[in-house]
Amino acid sequence: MEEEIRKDIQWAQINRDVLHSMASPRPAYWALVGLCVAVVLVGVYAEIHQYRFGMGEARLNWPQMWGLYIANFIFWVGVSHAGTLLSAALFLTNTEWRRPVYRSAEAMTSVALLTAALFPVIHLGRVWDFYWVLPYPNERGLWPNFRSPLLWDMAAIFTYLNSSMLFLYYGMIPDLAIYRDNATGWRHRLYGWLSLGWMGTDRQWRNFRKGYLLLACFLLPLAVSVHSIVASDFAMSVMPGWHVTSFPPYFVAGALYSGCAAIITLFILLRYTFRYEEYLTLPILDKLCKLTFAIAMVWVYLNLIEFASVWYGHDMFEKEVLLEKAAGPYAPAWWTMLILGVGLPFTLLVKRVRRNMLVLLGLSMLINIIMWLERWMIISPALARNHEPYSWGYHWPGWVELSITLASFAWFTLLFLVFVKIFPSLSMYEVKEMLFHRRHVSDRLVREPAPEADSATEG
Amino acid sequence: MKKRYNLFALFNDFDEVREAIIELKVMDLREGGVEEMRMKSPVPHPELEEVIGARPVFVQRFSFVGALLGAVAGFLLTAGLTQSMFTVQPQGGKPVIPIPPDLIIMYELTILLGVWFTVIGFLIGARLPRRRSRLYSKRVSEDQVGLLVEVLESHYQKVKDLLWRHKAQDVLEE
Repeated sequence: MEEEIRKDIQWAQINRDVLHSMASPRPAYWALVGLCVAVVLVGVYAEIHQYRFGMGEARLNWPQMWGLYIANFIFWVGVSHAGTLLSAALFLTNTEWRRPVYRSAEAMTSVALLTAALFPVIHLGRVWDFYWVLPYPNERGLWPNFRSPLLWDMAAIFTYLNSSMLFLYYGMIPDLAIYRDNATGWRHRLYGWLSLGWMGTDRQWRNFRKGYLLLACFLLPLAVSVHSIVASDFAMSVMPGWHVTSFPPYFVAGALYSGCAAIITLFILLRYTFRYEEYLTLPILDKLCKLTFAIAMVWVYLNLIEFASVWYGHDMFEKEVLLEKAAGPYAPAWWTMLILGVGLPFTLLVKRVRRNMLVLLGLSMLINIIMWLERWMIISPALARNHEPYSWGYHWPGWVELSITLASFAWFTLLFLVFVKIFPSLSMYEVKEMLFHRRHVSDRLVREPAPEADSATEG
Repeated sequence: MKKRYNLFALFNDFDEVREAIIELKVMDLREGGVEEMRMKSPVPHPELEEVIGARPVFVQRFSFVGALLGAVAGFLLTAGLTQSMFTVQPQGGKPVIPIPPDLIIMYELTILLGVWFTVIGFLIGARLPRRRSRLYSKRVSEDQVGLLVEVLESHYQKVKDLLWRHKAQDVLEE
């Protein structure tokens, strides 16, 4: 069996490799940052245009009030899902290959949530009135309605953002101390402050381990609750096409599917950019691909459940929405999403695909585009066919929505680029621990050879 | 009061540290002199922590209290304050305190405060933040294991010799 990571890597080498990734950026990095800033500025211009001329400029009008903004919101919450959830779940199940991957996955969670959090505000139109939705008693008697899933959503996203960032920071403390020890001048002071004076004492490690375990226990159900609650924004309504019992698990599976694909994309890009071939190895990528395939199959199954319950439920309005998706104006997008969303993961069963970086990079990015399309196909086709014909209407995004959507991808990339230059994108102490365990176990195996198969029958 | 010294030795691996700790423990049992021992390492080593004498960890109590406070705060926020707005917000025949939706906010706040209290518990338990001790080496965050021994003046030289004998790469003192 192939080793996930070479056992003879020197610990000092791990420090050098990871700290090197935080060194002064090359011109290509600045060029990419410049490109992202330019695209974000285009989005800001579109947003200002929307303020000046109203939400109609985004083609949002009755009955299509949600459009791409809420589709983007679900998409980014979904991408954020896999990082913390996988990190916590794999930690609790003691999965060793998680160690080199989890830092970038958790960073992806925080960055994607910061991107997602923009969309409810953008969607409001009057951004300056955002504070009205905050739950605080006030003189106007505008006390938020706690029966509304929208408020649950806000509570869940706030908790998830807060907890994910704490989880990310908490796990980084020993690595920040490594950077502190190798930095000089203001960097030494800054990272000294960030690492809180960590020295790796036995007392600190003991408390750290226990705390990390407890945080993982909190984060796992939280991550599931967040996307279930996002699904409740839809499922709790009486809209045909949304009022589906299986929506919460369907959303969670879809989120994990797109999140895993995003982790593969970042895995390959980090491996190539920072020369992390020793740590982000092909056997680990192989396992990540298999996990993505398994999650994709759950998503496929939940799609089938949704169609079957609509079809055999004999609710004419629900059926109408399903038929509208399959044969209406949105059919090309819906069929593309369905065929590729179901078909693409099967290519991950082929070992040659799992070992080809370029193909995997393209595949993982394509899966995310498909999952973005899936989010849009949840919203617009359902809103297009409400109960009464007077509230029927289609939505096709214009330049304002598309610019802001594109800007969100640039914003995500920009934040991630900043992250990898400020913080270690790979957990140094966890990789060392992984190597330590491997050496320890293999030494033990050498010292204590396995008993012969027939030894039980001897005597 | 007896004068104390701090000796900080750096070792190449955990096995050498284990041997040194065991010999120091035996010496302490026979004739005293070793006040405290602490390990500083690039990765955690639970087995060696047991050898050195692990103190109990209380982080889970903070988590529990935080989660409990979160649940109570969630209930007060939703049920308590909603009820106080009873005259302002029409209920339309629905219960003033709707339990199922309140449970969701309670659940989220349980986790939020649970997470914050866990981090606070860790900081208190690990005695962080703190200024870095002088008896520390950047090699600890790289690949070496440090052993900090607080020793009485009478045993200072004996312990120092013991640390060198166990292949310490360097011994710092304060």
